[in-house]
Amino acid sequence: MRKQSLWPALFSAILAIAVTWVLYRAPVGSPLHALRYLYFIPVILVSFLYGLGPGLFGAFLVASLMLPHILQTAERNFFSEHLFSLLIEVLLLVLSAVAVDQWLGTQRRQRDFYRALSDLGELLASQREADSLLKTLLESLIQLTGASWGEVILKENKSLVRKVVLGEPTSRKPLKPLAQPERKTLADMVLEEGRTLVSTNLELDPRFSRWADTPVRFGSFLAIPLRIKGEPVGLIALANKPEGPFSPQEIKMIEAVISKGEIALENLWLLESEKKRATKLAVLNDIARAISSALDPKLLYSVVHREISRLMKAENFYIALYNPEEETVEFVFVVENGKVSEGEKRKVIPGKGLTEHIIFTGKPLLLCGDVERELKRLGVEPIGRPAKCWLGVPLIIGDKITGVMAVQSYEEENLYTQEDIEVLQSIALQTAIALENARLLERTDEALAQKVKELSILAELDREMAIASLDLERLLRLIVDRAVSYTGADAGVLALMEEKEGERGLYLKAQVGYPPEIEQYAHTPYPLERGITGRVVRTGQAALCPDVSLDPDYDPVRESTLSQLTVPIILEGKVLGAITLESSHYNAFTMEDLAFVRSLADRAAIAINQAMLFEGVRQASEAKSAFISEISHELRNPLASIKGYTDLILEGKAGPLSERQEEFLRKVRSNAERMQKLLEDLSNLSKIEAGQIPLNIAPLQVEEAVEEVISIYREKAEEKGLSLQVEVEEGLPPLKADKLRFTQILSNLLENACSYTPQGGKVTVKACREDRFIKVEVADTGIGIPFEEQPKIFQRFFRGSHPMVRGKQGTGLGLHITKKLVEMQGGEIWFRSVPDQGTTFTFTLPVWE
Amino acid sequence: MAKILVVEDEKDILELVEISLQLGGFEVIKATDGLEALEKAFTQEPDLILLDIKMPKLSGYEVCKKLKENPQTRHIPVVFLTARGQEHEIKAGYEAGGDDYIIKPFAPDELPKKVQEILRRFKK
Repeated sequence: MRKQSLWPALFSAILAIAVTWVLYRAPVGSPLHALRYLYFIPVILVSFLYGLGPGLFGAFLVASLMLPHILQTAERNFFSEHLFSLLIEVLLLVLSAVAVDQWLGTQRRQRDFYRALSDLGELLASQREADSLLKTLLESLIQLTGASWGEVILKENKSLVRKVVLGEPTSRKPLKPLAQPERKTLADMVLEEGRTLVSTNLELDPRFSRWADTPVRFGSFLAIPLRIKGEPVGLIALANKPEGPFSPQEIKMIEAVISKGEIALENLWLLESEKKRATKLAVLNDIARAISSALDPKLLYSVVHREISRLMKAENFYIALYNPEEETVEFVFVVENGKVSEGEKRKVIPGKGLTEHIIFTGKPLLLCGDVERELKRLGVEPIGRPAKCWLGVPLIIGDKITGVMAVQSYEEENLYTQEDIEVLQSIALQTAIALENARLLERTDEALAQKVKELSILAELDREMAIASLDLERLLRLIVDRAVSYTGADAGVLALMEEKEGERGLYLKAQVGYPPEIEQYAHTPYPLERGITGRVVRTGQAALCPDVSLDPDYDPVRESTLSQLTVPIILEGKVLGAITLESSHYNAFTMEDLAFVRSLADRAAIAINQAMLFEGVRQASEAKSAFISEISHELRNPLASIKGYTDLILEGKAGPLSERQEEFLRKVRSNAERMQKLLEDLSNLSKIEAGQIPLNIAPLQVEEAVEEVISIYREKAEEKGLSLQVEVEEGLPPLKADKLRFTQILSNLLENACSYTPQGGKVTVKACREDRFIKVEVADTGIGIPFEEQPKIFQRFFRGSHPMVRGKQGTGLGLHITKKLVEMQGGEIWFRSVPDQGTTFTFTLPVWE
Repeated sequence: MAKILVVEDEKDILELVEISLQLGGFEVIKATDGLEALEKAFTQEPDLILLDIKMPKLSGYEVCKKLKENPQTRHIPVVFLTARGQEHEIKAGYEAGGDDYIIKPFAPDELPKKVQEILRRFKK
């Protein structure tokens, strides 16, 4: 509304006086005089422009100023037609001013109202929050109507919530829903019917109950529904207008104002829901991102909680995971009043706890308002502090429920809405996937680590088994040890079926973690009729007992055992024994453990078999070598006698001999010697093959050892007219060899070289270092080895076809034994030979380090 | 003249040794098993004992141990007769307290030389 000013009125009055003065001063009969009635034009003009007040004021001012003149005229012509006409004129003037003002005033008020309405629209549209918008709207309405009380109520979550209250009494109490379940309130009626309600005096109106549980007494009353898209979403109530009831015109104006409010509110809500949607999307996106990056569950929980907090109040929040095997729920992440705390793990009991209820139903649940009654209806006995508002959703993977996620409030009854269910559900879905991923990854990780562990144990056992001199006892101990450490058992034992001193049964071979009394079973058999182990060996069926007290066959050997795993050791369908693992926990062994122990049992079976074979071979070889040793010893003495007495006779100790006798006796002696050599080689060989040659490995000075051997052969070489040369590299490190065997090797080679090199030839012995070995070479310029015989020369009993070879005593075992002796000490031997040019034998032995 | 106790269960060998030693100028006492050897060692106090290893009743090692345990016979050098290719016998012989060894078979003219050599060493 524009501000009223006196100046225009004064101006119009002065103008009117001036005009009137000029007009009345004009002589009668002049044209101006005829126009004297036009003086009221300025008055009307002022009224038109500035309203009735100034107009009337101006008119009366003119009238009063003109009065002396009128009276003067009246003296002359009192009650003349002039005076009468003047009065009429003034009256006319006043009436027309009033009429104009009336008409113009309405127009103006309307214009002002619409102008104000448009301003209000802008004001409302500029509001960023629904609450402040509603407050502004109510304030404007109260200002507009002059009502002394007003409130805005919105429908939220099926109940009515008082949003803004203005006027007395200013209630500072928290807003309470008005709805009472038993009966409909006036507010409900307004909203349901969607009609404006007007009452001149609500207190006295017999049609209605009281408006609300406020102590305010209502006189004139108006309640108008708030509609968004035609649907009533709330209402605005106004009351106690001092000037009496609300007029239809006022109601129209109020409705117009409210419609502005409705538009603004709709826009605001749209904006809010857009914003919420955007936030929701952002949150879900963030969670999805967090999921792909946070594979650590603990981190994931806090990320999920942080993101949920962006969408709803989540000061009390938890994630519980369900373990269907153990039938437990574990509260893995709990936030109480904004603080993260440790959660418990509890057994799932039907009908107890809301979390359990969600797990059983697999459906989300929102509890608001009368939570106790709802719980009774659902048949759920709550655990812990009761919430005033509770919202929980299941974590689902496929059709499996993996847990529950819930938000709750201990104070606010209507904190969560239907919409929140959806939000929480979609977050739960993401979270469940993430947890599953993390779990899978962890499991993959674990499984991988387990597999690596498994494989490395098996590889270790395989390595152990590949050793020729398999130590079965050691291997069995290793198997038990690895089975225990892999499965996490507290004790493990391996027993084999054996017969000892006529007693057949299970004999303990290896054990870990048992009391010492169990060692008795190493000597006296554990009966097959006893225990789970006995049954497993009888039947050949593995036993996995999560609780030994449930197995009637269980025979306690170890006090604290609660679960047991027994796997038979089977070879070609025959049960050889069993591996038993015991644990002081229930359910300690898994199917994976069973599979792994089975593979250990298989290895044990193979190793036992291998050891048995080895043992057989060893025994046979031992028997053979013992036999050969025995035979050669038995043959040696008679031979020694033959040779000894022959020697005596040849020496002439038994009288003189004829030449022919001497010749024959020499043949006897030579053959006896050859037989002795053969016996010696045979006995040597049998010992080498039975692995019975003890090696006395010590640092061996090459030069010294070579010289020792050479000294024996020097004489022989000279006799034969051979040149014997030695070339040993200076400063050679010591050898890692047995001196006796080294001497034997070199002697054998030198013996051959000297034997098969014709007179005038040359034999050279060289020794030099080659990397971590010392290479010894025996080269001759002898008869050489025919090419077709070269591949055979290391074979047993092979003898060359050359007459020089045939002409010499030999067993055909020398090179074979030499090769074995070299190899036994970690060396190699080879040769190069050209017939009629010579042969070079080379062998290597490791350097002492 | 040095007195040699020869212990050997094989009679032919024993005789061969006896002849060889006699030819070399030694007095020879013979025993064919371990117990007899111990008895003769105590009663006849030989200057040297040639001891076979594989014998009935008491093995050469056992005989040697018993001799070396007894102060009366401790000083008598014990020489084992070991077979060629049975090197472990040499080691076991020393462990049992033996003083030297002679490898069988031996040439009859070499045996007295070897015995003489050992005796000389011990007299020092």
